[in-house]
Amino acid sequence: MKGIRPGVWLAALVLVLLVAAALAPHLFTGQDPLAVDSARTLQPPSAEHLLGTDENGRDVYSRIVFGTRTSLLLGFGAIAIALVGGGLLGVLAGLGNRFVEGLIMRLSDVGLAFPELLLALVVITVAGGGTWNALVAIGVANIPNYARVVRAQTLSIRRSTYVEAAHALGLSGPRVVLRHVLPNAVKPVLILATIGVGTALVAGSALSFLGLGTPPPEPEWGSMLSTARNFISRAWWYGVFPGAAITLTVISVTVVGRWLRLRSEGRTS
Amino acid sequence: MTRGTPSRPFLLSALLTLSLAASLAACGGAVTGAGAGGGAGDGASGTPRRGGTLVLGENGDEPACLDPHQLSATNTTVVDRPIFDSLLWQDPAGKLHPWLASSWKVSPDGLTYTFELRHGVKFHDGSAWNAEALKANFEHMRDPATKSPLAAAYIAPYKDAEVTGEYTLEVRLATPYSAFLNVLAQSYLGMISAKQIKEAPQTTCEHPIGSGPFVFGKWVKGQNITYRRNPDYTWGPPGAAHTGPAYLDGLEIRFLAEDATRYNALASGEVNVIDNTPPVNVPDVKSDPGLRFASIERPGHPFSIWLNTSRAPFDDVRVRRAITLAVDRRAIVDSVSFGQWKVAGGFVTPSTPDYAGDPEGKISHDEAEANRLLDEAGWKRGPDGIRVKDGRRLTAVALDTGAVPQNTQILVQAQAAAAKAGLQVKIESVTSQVQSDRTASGDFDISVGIWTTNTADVLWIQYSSANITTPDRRGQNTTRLDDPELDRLLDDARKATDEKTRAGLYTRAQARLIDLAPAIPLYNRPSLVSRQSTVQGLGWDNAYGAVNFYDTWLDR
Repeated sequence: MKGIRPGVWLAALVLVLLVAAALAPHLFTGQDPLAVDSARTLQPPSAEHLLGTDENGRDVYSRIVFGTRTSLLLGFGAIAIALVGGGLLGVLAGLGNRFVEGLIMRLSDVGLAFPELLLALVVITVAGGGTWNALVAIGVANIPNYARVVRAQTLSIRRSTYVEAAHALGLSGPRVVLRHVLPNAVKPVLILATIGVGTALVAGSALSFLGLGTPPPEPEWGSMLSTARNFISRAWWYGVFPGAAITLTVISVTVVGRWLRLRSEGRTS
Repeated sequence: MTRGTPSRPFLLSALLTLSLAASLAACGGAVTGAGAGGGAGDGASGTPRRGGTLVLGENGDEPACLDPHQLSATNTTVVDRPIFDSLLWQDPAGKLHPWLASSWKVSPDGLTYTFELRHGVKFHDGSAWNAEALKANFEHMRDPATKSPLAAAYIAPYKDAEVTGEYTLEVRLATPYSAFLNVLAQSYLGMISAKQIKEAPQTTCEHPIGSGPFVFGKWVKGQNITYRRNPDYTWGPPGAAHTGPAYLDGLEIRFLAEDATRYNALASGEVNVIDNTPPVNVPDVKSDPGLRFASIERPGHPFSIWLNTSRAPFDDVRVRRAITLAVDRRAIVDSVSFGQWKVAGGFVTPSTPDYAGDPEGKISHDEAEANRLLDEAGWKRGPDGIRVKDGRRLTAVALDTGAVPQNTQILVQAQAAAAKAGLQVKIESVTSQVQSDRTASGDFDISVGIWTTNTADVLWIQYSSANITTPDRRGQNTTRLDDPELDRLLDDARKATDEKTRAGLYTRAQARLIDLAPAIPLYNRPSLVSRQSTVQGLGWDNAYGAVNFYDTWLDR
């Protein structure tokens, strides 16, 4: 892998660590993220509490580590929903008749007219808060984006020579779609989705920040940031580190996603 | 992708980081940017000056209506005291003085109260204050159409009244009621223009008319309430530092729900005074030469953790006593309030008449005794540390709206203490409507709350079995405590016509409550008021423990 910038390596390393923390948080901290200590609230970083303690005396570092799973789940899960939903609708629009295409595309135009976060808020207002609802809400809000891109891909692939050749060879319609159209239409979208993960992660944190995502006492970066803002004059560490975790994750996801995209376009960074 | 260019996530995360930086910067401003230097001393110094409009930053607990008789909201005194006067005034020692009543007589049987009223008092609409007006107010409080959540309950023994002279009203009660005069000093029982009550009762919410030092101006819901000085005001309360109209030209109460926003508004000079100073910021206020801090403890029931005594596991007094002992109240209160709240000493606060406290120190922190009581009650430790009895785990559901960060903190810390003793508490996040419905119907194990009033009769309101919510009537007995002995003590204290007898009964009632442990009393809630040093002559309404601006002036 010659010619890859060190920044990309670094970002990839961060992502690997984050995924590891999400899968096995116990490997990264020996402390219980829910262990309350009324006598040691808002303590600054120390050897015992690397990133200090929060308003209930809980260890901020282990709460960030244990919060990784929820935060990544929100980012990747939401985009997975958007990808599946958007992929299906996009292919349907690309292959369907004028009526089906029109219907799907007009609906997606309406969806695109609203910011994702606003759509997610509407979904949450109807379905209620919580981690899973927030995940679905952000995913649904992102569907129009992906539907549009997949449709464009499908349209161009549909008219490509290899698909015409497959038809000419007498392959059945569904088989052509499944074996040839779908994989080729989705591949570039997958790369774009890695960048979308960053957006979705921030949206998930924003929802928790507003008190609509993960409820307490479960650790989640956005809700930590939300509580921390009341104590910022006393305990800078409480807000800064979860904020840094969000920023670092989003930057890493974006750097790696961008590299993947450039590579797929035949350019090198 | 049609949207979401690669730079978008950067932008969003940058926004989050920026907002963080902004709040940091705003806090930095507290140290330097607090305006005029600290020349002025504490309290009233120098000669009061007239003029200026004072802006108060209040929390987001905005009343739904400004008619005091229709309210039970915590901020009623702050928003309504400028507009409304009361029949009596309570001094800091708890003694009652004449205000809109010039004197009163109580019959020996405690059933008839004869009020002589002050002459020359006028409401803001020009109508006169007299015996008819007082009677109209009593009738308005108890009129079912008023739907009074508090005033009606406070005057429940009121039977009827007879106007025996232009300024004399004879009030008859159905039963003796020892707290009657005390509650009349509260702003919830403030006096509304009788003309408005008779001619346009539907306007009392939106356009309140009283006789107070300030005239209602405008109310932009969700934003602010403005008032202007009443130039004719010559009937200030007896405890005031001056007579005649208020010094301020006007008053604005601005609702700033976010704790950090409210504090920063004071620090940046956007408002002159804030109520409900976030405890975390009190040290900042105290160390700022341009700011001053003052507080008053509210009378009534301390802020408490209610335990539902009508269902398992808290139907067993041993389990209630155990959780009371398991919780380290001092550690929790100190950490949540940064040392600004005092740990409750019993079932009423020390600023309440007939306070008896906890002389035997039974509401202490004693984990060994907590464990012993739970063992005795048959709850044995299971493999994960949570106790089990007859195959049932020792669990309890706590309701939390998340609206008050300190309440969530209290529940989270109490949850940890309970888990140590083997009781698993699950905190359910609910909307305030759901919380209200479920506490009323008894579908909860743990809840939190407070009741502020200036008499020990608060114990009857909170713990008499007569006040358990039924399908027909919403009562305030949240813990659903039903104890015949306590009922008798509270009823007798209520009907006592002699102060000594009453005090003795309330002392026994408080001791009985400590043994019954229907709630964990946590802290005596104070009003934490911070102001710029240019604000002078801040006063208090002692009957509730809230800030009062009648004597206040701006030293510009």
